[in-house]
Amino acid sequence: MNTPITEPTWVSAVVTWISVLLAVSAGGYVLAGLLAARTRGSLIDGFVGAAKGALDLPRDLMALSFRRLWAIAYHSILESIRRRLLLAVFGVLIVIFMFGGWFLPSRPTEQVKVYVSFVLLASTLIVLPAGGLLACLSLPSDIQDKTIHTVVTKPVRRLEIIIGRILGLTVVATAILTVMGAMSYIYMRRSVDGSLAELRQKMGEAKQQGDVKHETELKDSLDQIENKLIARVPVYGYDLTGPVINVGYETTYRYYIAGNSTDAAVWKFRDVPTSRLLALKSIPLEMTFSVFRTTKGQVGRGVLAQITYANPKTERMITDYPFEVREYYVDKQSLDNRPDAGRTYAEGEKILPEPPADPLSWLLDKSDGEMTIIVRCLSSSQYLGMARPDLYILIDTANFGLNFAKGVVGVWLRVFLIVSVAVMFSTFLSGYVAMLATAAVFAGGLCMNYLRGLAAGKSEGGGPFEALQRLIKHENLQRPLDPGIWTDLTKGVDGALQFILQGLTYVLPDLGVFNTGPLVANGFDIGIGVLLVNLVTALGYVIPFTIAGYFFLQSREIAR
Amino acid sequence: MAGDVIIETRSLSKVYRDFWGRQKVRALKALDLKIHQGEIFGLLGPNGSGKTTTIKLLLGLLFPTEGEALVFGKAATDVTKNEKIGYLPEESYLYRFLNAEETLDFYGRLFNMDKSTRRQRTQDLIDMVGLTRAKKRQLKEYSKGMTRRIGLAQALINDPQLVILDEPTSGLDPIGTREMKDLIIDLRKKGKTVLMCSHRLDDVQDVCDRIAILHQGELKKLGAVGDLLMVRDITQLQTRGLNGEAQREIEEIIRRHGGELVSVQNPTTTLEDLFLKVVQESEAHPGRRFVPETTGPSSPASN
Repeated sequence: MNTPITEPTWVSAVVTWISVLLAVSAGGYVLAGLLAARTRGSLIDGFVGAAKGALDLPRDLMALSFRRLWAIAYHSILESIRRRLLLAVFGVLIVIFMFGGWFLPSRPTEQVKVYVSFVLLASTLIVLPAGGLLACLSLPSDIQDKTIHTVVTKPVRRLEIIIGRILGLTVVATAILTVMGAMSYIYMRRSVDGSLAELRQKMGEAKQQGDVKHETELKDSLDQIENKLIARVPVYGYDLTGPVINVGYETTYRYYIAGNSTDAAVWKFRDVPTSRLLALKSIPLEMTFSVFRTTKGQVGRGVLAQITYANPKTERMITDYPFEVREYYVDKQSLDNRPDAGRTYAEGEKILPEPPADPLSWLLDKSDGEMTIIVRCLSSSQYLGMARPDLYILIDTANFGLNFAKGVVGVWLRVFLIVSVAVMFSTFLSGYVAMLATAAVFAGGLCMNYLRGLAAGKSEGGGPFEALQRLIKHENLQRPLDPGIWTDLTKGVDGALQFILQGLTYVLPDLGVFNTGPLVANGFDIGIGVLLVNLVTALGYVIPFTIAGYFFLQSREIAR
Repeated sequence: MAGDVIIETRSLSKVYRDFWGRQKVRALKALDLKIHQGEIFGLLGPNGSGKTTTIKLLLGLLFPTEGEALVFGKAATDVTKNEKIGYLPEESYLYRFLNAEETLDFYGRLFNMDKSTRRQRTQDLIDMVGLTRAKKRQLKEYSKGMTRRIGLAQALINDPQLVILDEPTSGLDPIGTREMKDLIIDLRKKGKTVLMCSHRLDDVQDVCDRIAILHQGELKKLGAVGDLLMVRDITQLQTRGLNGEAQREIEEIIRRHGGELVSVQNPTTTLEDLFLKVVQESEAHPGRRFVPETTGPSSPASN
């Protein structure tokens, strides 16, 4: 299971904010100056006019009136309702829910993941275009119908027009998402609960018939579903050392340790809430390892592994009983607080003859939140594969419904961003052109990692012109281009494009970071910290987009 | 002129350009104008003469190419001036999905008016424009006349000091037109300043104190309606009880025959005649512009 664990940090959010604010504001000013130059006759007049408008920003900011903002926001809400957008949105949603189930895989173990991913994707695909469409068309249609003339001739700041619209359309999107989220949750729970009931019934029948194997299989499936219907609060290790063997897969996400050898995978943890573990009276671990077999092994038996829990400060260690690794499942192991003599207790090199009375307190004493987990593979000729996120301490579980709501907040943040981008474009572009521009930002935001690679020159096959040259000449991606004027020219143009792309990567919002759906689908809690950082990051984009929109609207002639 | 200057334009010019910034048309040429507090000022001119451009420049909807426009002593682009302005556009550009009450409430909020004031003003204005029975209907169901009325109501929501009316009687029936003209005169009585532009010369003649006639972006005439319509080279005597002999040496005969001299005055033409004459002269002599004097009565001058 590939679970994203790299949480955004406050520092990265602040850095993003400052860079985007500067880039978008500067870009907005230059574009506003160029646009103003068209109507004012000369570049100098255009930039002077845009500068005057820009200088009004602090004054307009101070004069913001909540009543006016809400008037414009409420107006946008009424417009959406009276133009029956909501009916259209819910109509589409109902059709999707009615027939969506026909096309979804019905494997019970994947049901929660598939349904959660499906409903969150459906919500995104419905609300994002709806919000973007409204935001793109609202202001241009006001300008075209000239209804804006009666608004801007009132004491309304252009900033209020922009913020009011973003606010109003975001409220509309929030209302739609709230209803859609609730409907999606009910739809998903009804489907999953139906499957759970069916599995329980079959399990009862298997038990009655004495079919232990089938009963165990059904119980496994039941466990897998129930494991997804929670919101785990994990503590991940910050470092993994040990697995270095590549068993030959093209993708090298997991590296392997050899069985029955000195190989060991060592996870280092910090900030482990030891008081919580002591209260739980156990160290619950969850892991998803993969197994690479070089021999068939024993039929019906899994590969054996063993876990050692260590305190790096005191060098105290407890080695637990070996266990069979369950491939393709979430393995659960926990070290309880029983002074079990079958386990090995050691302090440095010295093995204790008797278990301590309170093993967990003994182990965690003076740890300062640091802990080391060591995993060894005990089966000869077998290999155990793992990556850093494959093992974590399950510190708590949270409510699944609440976590689902947090996943919907991730969708909301994307909508919020797209609405602000669309409103910005609509201040100087016509409705349909603004839609195209917004769609381009959306597409760019979804493939930011690719764009960053392209901007850094790390793309295989070179930039777009080099790729074109390779296409025409039927050359593969690895072979360097023949030296010559065409190659120099191609690389030169690609270099210039790279420079532009680098700038764009600062301006385009990375929509991927707001996608918390996989966490919900895989049963992991979305921390409040993650939500807050994502919210701040979103605001970090929305504020410069608003400022740029202000520059555009301030420097354009409304009556043209 | 009595009151403070409310609107002032100084060499106000506007050039419309195409997408590439090339000059398309010079819509307004060096307009100098002063409109004083408490007067009803009419802008006249044929289509494309620059009336609407002037209004849009005064409202900050367009930016001047040259010169400046001041309203209440502030630049036309200054939003704070709008606190004291009411604007009725030519087509009552209002949101058709709102009803009358919602429309006025919306514009009231834009003036930062509190809820009770908004409610009161909304009710008063709806009653005033005679839309009480239709106040819950969406504007898309309104006739053109009703739309003009609600448009007027929104222009007055803030009890403005300056009311700018673009074709105020357009779409109104005769009764509505009469009511609109009465209302404009009422506004003057309350000390408000009104700037209106209209094609209906009789309306302008009925209500305006001063008018400016624009043609091809240039100011052709400016002055009090009475002054402009006066035929100066003809003296008109209005007498009572005279016979035909008395017409040669009027005053003497009047005195000799014991007649009563009621008035001696110049006859006036109609605004329609004046307007057509100005347009004809302008077309015959393009580029000749009226330049208002800083003091004293206005006089024509060639440029």
